Amino acid sequence: MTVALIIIIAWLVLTTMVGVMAGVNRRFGLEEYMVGGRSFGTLLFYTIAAAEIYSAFAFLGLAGWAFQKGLSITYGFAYMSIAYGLLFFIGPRIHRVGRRGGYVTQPDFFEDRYDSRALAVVTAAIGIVFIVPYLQLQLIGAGIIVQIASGGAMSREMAIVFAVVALVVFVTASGLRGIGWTNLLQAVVMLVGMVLVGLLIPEKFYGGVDEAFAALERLRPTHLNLPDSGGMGVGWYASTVVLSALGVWAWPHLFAATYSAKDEGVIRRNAGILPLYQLALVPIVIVGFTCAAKAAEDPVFAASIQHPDQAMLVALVDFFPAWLAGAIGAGGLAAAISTSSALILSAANLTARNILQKGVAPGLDDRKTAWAARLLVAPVALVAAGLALGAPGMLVNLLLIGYSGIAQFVPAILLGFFWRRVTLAGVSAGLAAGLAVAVLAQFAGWHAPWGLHAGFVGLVLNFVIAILVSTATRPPDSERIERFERFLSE
Amino acid sequence: MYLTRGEKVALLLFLPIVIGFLPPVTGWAAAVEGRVLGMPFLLFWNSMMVVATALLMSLALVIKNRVDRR
Repeated sequence: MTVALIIIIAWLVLTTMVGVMAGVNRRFGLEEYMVGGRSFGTLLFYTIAAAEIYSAFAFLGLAGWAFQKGLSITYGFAYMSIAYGLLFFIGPRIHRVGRRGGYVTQPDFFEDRYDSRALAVVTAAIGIVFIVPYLQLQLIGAGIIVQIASGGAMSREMAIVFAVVALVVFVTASGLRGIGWTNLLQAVVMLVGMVLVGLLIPEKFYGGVDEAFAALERLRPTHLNLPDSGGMGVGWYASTVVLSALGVWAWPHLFAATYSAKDEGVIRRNAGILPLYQLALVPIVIVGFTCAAKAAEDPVFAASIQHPDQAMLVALVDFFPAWLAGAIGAGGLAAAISTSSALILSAANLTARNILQKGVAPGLDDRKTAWAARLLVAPVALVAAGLALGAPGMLVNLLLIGYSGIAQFVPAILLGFFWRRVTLAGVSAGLAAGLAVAVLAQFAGWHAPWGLHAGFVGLVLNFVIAILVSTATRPPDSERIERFERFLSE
Repeated sequence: MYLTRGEKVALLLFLPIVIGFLPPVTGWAAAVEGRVLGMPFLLFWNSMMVVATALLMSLALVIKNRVDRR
């Protein structure tokens, strides 16, 4: 067993123990298990929001994008910052109606606002359809990280199995509270790993950041322009930033995370604190650019990178001591696990609450529904693990339209909060049209004009149709709207 | 179903964030030649905008609370 592998396994065991301990001596009713008893303070909410957003993509994908495509990777900073700004306005509203209405999942909101259990079941099903490939990607990412960082001492498949066992144990035991406490650990390790790697690799390869970019400018000048080497121009940049910024809080696990805050001040304080987490991503992006320069002049290094997402880890393993690769690998694993745990819990909650309790098994009380969610954690994780091991490419199309698809919930959320005239028919028609555009672009190869992101076009169409159809249909029941407005009032 | 007075003021602080991260500002920052702190200007600009976002949204919280308390 290598030093790197020992560090990674020790980290996984510690994570599992902390997650399990978080749930000791607690009675897990519906709210406690699914939304942490609506009691999370500023720090715990911060770790939930930060660690759930920064997934394996933050460790592998950011560096991989900078390595392969170039400067368009800066869109990541843009959309996340705008998303945190939006949290200031949307988050407290979601939290407020969630607390007063007793919501524990995102479809609970849709059901109550639009008086439609069918809409809740459909949105729960859509949420699960997009969550599973995202979860599968995290598990594949975890496998790659451990395999490469351990120098091949553990296979990708075995790493996925270990990660899934750890996830199932602590998510089943402690629900969102366990995820919160493990995320606190994960956030620290991720931050240290990101900053460390960003300082070391440019220094090792070129003697500093300035020298690394000077080399890249000389070797691959298109990498530092817009459009960059990946062909991403300003039109793509702007539309992707808007789509993704709006889409962040439409993900079921992040929408429901706002229910977990103790009060609205927690959420608004986090809108100011959360953006700073992104500064830790700057070193990762710099590493991706540094590896691009190195690969352009070192054919041996270039040949050792089988996929752009592996660039940073390959550089670590090839040029640095094993213990450092292990420590950084633990950071990457932390990123994958923190997001995976939230996704598993969210899929289990959506199934238990909106498909079982409010759908096919209305006899379930809240206590039994909480138990159903706990029992569903293992099957959800096994499905994702099975797909990650057996058919890693099978859901790739669903994954690619993940943000485009989930962002189509945005009109139903925003209009639901800010326009009392919006109707069930309006949001349903808009959602169908927006999803159709996202699916068409992915499966039929349709390209949006001016280099725009197809999901953005779908979102605009979704808004327009939702407004037009709402205006043309009978207004919603005024008593229900007044009740919802009472939920919303400060 | 509407924004409070404090939130409307906070919205004014949110606007520079949106403007600073989107075209035409992005196009301008991408076109600036030379490096700052070793980084291409767009990467430096977006890093500074991240810090600006934290400051502006913190300020927005203070202002929102004061305005809505009145």
